[in-house]
Amino acid sequence: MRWKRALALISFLLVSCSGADRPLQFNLGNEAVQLDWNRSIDITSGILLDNVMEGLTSYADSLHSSGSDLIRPMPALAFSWSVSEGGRLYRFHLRQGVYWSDGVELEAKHFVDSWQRLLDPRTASTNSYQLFEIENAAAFASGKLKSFGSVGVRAIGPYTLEVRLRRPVPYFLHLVASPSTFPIRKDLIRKFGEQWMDPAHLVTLGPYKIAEWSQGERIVLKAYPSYHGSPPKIGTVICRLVGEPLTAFTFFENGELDVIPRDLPPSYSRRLQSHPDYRSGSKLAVNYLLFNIHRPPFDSAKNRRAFIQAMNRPELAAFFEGAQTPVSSWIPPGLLGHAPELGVSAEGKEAPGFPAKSLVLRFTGSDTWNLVFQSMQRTMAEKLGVKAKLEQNESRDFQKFLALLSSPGRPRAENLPHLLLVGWVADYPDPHSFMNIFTSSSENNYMGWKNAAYDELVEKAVITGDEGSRKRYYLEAQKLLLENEAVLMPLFLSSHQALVRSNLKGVHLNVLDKWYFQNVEFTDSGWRSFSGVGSGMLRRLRNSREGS
Amino acid sequence: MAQFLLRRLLIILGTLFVLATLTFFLLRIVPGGPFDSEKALPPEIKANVEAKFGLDKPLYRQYLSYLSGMATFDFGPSFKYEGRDVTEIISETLPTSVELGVYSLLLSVLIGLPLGILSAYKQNTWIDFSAMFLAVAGISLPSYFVGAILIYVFSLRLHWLPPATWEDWTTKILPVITLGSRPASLIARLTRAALLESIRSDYVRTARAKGLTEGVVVLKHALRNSLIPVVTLLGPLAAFVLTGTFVIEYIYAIPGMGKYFIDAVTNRDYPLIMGVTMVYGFVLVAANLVVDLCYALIDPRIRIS
Repeated sequence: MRWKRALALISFLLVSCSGADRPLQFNLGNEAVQLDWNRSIDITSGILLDNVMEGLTSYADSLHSSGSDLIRPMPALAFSWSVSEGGRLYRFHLRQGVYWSDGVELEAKHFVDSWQRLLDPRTASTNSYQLFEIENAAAFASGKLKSFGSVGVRAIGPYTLEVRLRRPVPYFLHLVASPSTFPIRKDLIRKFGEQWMDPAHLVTLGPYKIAEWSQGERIVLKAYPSYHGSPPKIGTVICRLVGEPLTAFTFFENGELDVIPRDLPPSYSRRLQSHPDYRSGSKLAVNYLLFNIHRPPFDSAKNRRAFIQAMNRPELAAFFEGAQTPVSSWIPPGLLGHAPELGVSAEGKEAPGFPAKSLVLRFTGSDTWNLVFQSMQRTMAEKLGVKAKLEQNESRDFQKFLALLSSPGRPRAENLPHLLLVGWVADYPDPHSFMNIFTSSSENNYMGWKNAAYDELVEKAVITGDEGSRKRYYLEAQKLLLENEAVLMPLFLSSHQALVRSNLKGVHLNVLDKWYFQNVEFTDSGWRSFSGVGSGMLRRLRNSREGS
Repeated sequence: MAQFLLRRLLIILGTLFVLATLTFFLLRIVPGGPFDSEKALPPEIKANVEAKFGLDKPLYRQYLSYLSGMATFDFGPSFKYEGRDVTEIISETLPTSVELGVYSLLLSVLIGLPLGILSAYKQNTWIDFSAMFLAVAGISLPSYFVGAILIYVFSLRLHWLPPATWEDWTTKILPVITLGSRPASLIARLTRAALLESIRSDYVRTARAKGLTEGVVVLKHALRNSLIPVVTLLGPLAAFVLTGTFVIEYIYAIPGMGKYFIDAVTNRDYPLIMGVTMVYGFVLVAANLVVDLCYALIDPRIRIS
């Protein structure tokens, strides 16, 4: 009997470790804040939503469809679309036979319902601006227009959605890939109220479904068997919520996490770069110094350029040990109009006679940022003969200050610091998301720089559909912004730093920080030896059982 | 007794009212609002969001509506965790914090008390010095350091215990030790000091003169009197460990209430800050009341009236 029992145990071990049912263990880090996709803004919820829901368009795992170095949206719930009236009218043709997890078929009205809810002032979604390019959408969102009937979106039959824009926008297909525009079931919201997004009631249609949600502990995703596309290669994804970087790293080393997408322990930063499972890649996020163009010495473009030339970007970026890459241009790589050679180079050039003796630099951020600016402070003293005062604010305090700059009660220019550290993360992967910031009407143009030529170039780049012309306009506008006027000093491009088990295929670190699990698979039997098999083995067996 | 309880209850209510009012207004003074971000929102969207959460109303109306909600234990919806009420968040996370706190408190009493007694009993011997060295270390070393060291040794190096989470009993050992080490040290030091003072008093000398054994003298006569300062300490200590601590819960990924103390403040999540502050305040005053009641049990000279 004993040998039979041993055989049974061996078979169990082999099945458990075969990898067929092996779950992917992913560290979400923090509790997902908001599963209501019309209102969700946090990264954690975004990762879940990208895997349990879908929009009209989507992206390849790497974001780049084959043969393109630019990010292009691909068909998702819409299998095709037509564009007419010079780029103002879109007709999306939905896939037929797509079913929500409660068995109801997807229809175009689910998109209309979702977009109406997203724009409704009572929903108070901070994402509603994403649809402001739709005819009358902004007026409806502000409450000036009461009836949704005049907003340019309607269902023509069950499988066709028609959208009329107020002007042609070449990035509209990116906007409808955003989670906030995913379809919604109004009948379920009516039935369950605010509880409709409770995992017990949540109805979705993406490659995965939420199977278990233990608040603050973990979220388990299971493949959705009726998904319209190819089924996920890994049946179960266990999302852990380990916030402390060192603890997450210990989990990874013990074989209890397969992916840590961000927040690696800072103290291990240098060592981890030679870890076999270390991966890095750039993001569509730029940190820059904004000049107070209304206050001397930075009221002159010549002085702004002299300041930039005196700095040394690579030296400053070194403090981040790979998490930030020096950059002089504005539009990041992967987007139309990216030109690394653009911008004023920072080469540590001395500027004797710089017309200022003291400057104030205000920023918020980690201790590393403090080190960066202390180094910059020294450079300012050496190269420009300027004594700089650093003002480090708590993040909310700083955000309040920025909000004040874009409000009617804006302080006078002489009361504002000479330099501000600002960060920008793209809302959608199109250069307009970056270039729009410095247009006269933008709320994010904190120093209120106004240039009619720049505005015209950015507007032209929006309304033309031709990529060649768009690129030309953006290059010209960037030259004006960065070199002629030097309104800002781009500092660094932010990077991902992740740990991804090397036996995982199909994991792509992409510039939008999107994590799609559908095409991820283990390339080996799933058994990875690690020291101290004791608790790790028991845990792995437990996870295998949970996954099956 | 009933009069005493009624009087204390009224004081508790007054204390909680003052706490609620101070917290409410202090929060509004702190710079930065709950919906400020580095990306400026179009004004119409900002207005919608403020209207939804009642932030467009005058401050006194916000205060009154908050007070009336609090009277019915309704702190309103969280600003950050939209769709979840503060009461719901607290009721989901507080039990875990209480469980962690109870284990840690038990551990600290079970270790701290005997260690303190032993130190006093064996004063100025190597046992006393070792115990007090441990106690000083326990008080001085911050919990994030103790936690990181325990994870490094027992999980990353030895693989004896899981590094984090709050699932089976093996996951609970390291966080309980981390949280319990400081209170255990405090109890040990306090017990030793109080016991040494009692041992030198006349009634202990009398007990010894009666020919009682040293064990009976210490445990039966001296210890009971020495417990008063320890019990006094246990009140705030219990409130501290039962409502969760940010560092421990963050390091060990424990789904407790402690992490909301910091998260809520960072996010300026006004309703959540109010909720956790009030829970903490309530546990603190309740624990102090229990301590006062315990005095009568320990010291027959104290009568509650």
